[in-house]
Amino acid sequence: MIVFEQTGFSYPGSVVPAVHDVSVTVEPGVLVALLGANGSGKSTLARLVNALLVPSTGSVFVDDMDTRDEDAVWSIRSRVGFIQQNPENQIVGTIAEEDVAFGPENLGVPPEEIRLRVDEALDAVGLAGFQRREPHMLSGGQKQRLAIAGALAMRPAYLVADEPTAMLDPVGRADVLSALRDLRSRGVGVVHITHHLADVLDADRVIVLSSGGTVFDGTPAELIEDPGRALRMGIELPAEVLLADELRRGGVSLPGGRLDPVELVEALWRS
Amino acid sequence: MRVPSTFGQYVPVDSPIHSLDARTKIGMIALFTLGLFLVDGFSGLGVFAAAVLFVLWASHVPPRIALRGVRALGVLLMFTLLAHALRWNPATVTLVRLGPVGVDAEGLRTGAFFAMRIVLLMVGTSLLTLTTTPVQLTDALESLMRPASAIGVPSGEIAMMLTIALRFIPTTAQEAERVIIAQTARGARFDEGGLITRVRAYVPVLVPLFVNLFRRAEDLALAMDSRCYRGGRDRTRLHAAVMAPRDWLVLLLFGSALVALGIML
Amino acid sequence: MALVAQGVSYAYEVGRPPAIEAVRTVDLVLEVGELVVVAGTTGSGKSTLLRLLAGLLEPSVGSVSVDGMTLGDSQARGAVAIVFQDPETQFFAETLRLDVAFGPRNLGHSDPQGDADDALAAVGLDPAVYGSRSPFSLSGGEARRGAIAGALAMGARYLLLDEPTAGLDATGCSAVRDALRAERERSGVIVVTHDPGEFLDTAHRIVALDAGRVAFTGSVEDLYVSPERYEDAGLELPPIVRTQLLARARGMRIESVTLDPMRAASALLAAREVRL
Repeated sequence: MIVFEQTGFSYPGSVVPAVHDVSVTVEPGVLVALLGANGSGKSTLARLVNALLVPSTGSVFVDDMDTRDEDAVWSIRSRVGFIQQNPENQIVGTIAEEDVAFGPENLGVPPEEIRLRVDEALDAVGLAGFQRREPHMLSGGQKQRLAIAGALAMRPAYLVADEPTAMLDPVGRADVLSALRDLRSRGVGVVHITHHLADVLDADRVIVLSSGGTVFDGTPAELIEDPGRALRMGIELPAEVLLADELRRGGVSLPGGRLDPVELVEALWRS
Repeated sequence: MRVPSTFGQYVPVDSPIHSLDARTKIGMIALFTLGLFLVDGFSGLGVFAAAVLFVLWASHVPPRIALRGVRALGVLLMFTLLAHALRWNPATVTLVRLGPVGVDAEGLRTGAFFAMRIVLLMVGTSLLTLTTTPVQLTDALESLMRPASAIGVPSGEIAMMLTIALRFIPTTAQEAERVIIAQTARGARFDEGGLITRVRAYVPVLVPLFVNLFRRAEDLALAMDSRCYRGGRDRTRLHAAVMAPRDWLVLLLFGSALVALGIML
Repeated sequence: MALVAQGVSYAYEVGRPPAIEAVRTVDLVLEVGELVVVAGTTGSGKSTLLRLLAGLLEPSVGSVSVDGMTLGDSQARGAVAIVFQDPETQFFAETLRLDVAFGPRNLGHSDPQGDADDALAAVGLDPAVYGSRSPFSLSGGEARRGAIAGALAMGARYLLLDEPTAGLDATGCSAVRDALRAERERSGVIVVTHDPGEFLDTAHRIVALDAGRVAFTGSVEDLYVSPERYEDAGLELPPIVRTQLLARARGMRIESVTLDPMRAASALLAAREVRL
């Protein structure tokens, strides 16, 4: 489990903490969406998980290891994979398989085992056969999936993805989201940081950050059933969700959750 | 624009030379270069030429590709030849005479020798890059530098930096092209004016590339930390190059052949 | 007076089979005062078409002309301005004003910094506040608008933009849309995007590309009446639009389809009362 215990963090020279008093737990095999406007502290929180940053107040534990413990840092980092927003700037290998091998190589995994892990990881993200492809020949979505493969090859228990789809086109975004969902079904705990609500409506849980503090911790359905509250928290809600809410207020009886246009019109007609 | 590959000159063919360990080939190049500068006659040069031809044949690299570089040397070769062959108001025997300038037989021979040596050097060393990927080369360099790590040289880190630099060559080329097109679309001209103007014209290209470079370095460092990079020590490799008996044998034979020839000629 | 592409085709790697035909026989006309959205999925040829319209590529077949002149003409220089994807990655100057003035200065305008200030104002960035700031200190949406201003300052009659809202959050997107809405009065604007949904209330016309060919061309209302070929090109109308169109199809009276949830809701609720 990833445990945040009243975690706070201030960047050096900053008076206002980027994150304050966050207490949250993330279990393995669960996809948690971390939402928030720009500047809400979500990127900072992401970097607190794998000890890239260490809390100023409170603590962060990964499977009972304290991120402040210098001796545990490498164990923690092999347990928590980390994907950034820019697909290009995470790839160090001259060809795909060498990049995926980077993590296991750092862990001193024997070469035959590395070979197995590399092929397995590329397969898992839908890049089977891409072993000798050069990074600059890949699309944004493929590069991002390559980064996920690189994390997977370290056999992590968790993956933190910091806005992985922000720089991708719709095809790339769909591929990466599918890869993340797939990770969850393999038992990896995924923390998906994003500012698009639409990306994470099939998350198991949603945590919303605002100005460094948690303002919501619940299911996606719970979040959208009160659009006014969501807007106040700085979440951009899709137009159709706002429409459904407004129709409800107009007396149309609509079930909760996402409704497709056919259902909406059906309900409207019947009301 | 054809984006450069991270494979550079490498020609992906299967051959006994390709499958030799990169360190063997580096060793052969070193011996070859040393021998080439110790040779003093055409017969010796002839042997080295035969050696180059033999390795070229064994490498299955199309000669057209291997000899591409020689054409680029054309001017240098001509210059070398003429520098030795031409004499101004010579007192010695000449072959041809055109006013005050003449061609000297001895000079012609010397010029030909030096030119020939340049060609052999060029083709010989390019056989290394034609049959070895840049990553194999950086791995070999790291391995050869490793003894120096005992005195504090960070061989692993240096090799890592070289690999990353290679990895980003095509990417940076793509980015540079994009920035040049974008600035051209804003009316920038790169082909006007004197030297200073032209250099200054590239500021709108260099600044964005550098800004990107710094951002990239930060992101990469974060990514490498996250993936547990702790420097060069204790890292295993996906492709661990090992010197096989064949590699040692080839190196030994090659070296002894050159020495033997050196003694004979 | 228009930017015209006539029967334009473009192929990559001609002579080396298989040649990749990115654009096939496309006709497009853009007049001043119009905003046309060119939509398509990845690989549909929309970015290539944009480059052809800007004169950066020569069509293999057909021609592109601006106001009756060929693009190569010196008189045509400065008639078409193009903004590429992620234009903020091309900032290089110390201040935003100087960066935006780069284009007009290269074109020989008499007052490049004045043009820069006008352009900044046009995109909603107050020149008094933003002019002397470093372009690298701007937020995502501000930087994007600043880069667009760089093209506007060139005073071109036709403005081409490739994915101007990609990567921006909602506030950034609407700021860019507002800037373009204002700009279309002065010039002809083409927006290439893979998400035409957000431009449906800004655009006059939509051109949908599918594998290099024009699958749909018409006004936004035309699109609402028969979206089949648009959808076949792999594009989807936003759910809120589809809801209103379905309601219409059912017989409910929806005067004008809107992207705004509040107006859509009141229209739908009102239509509920009056059923045909």
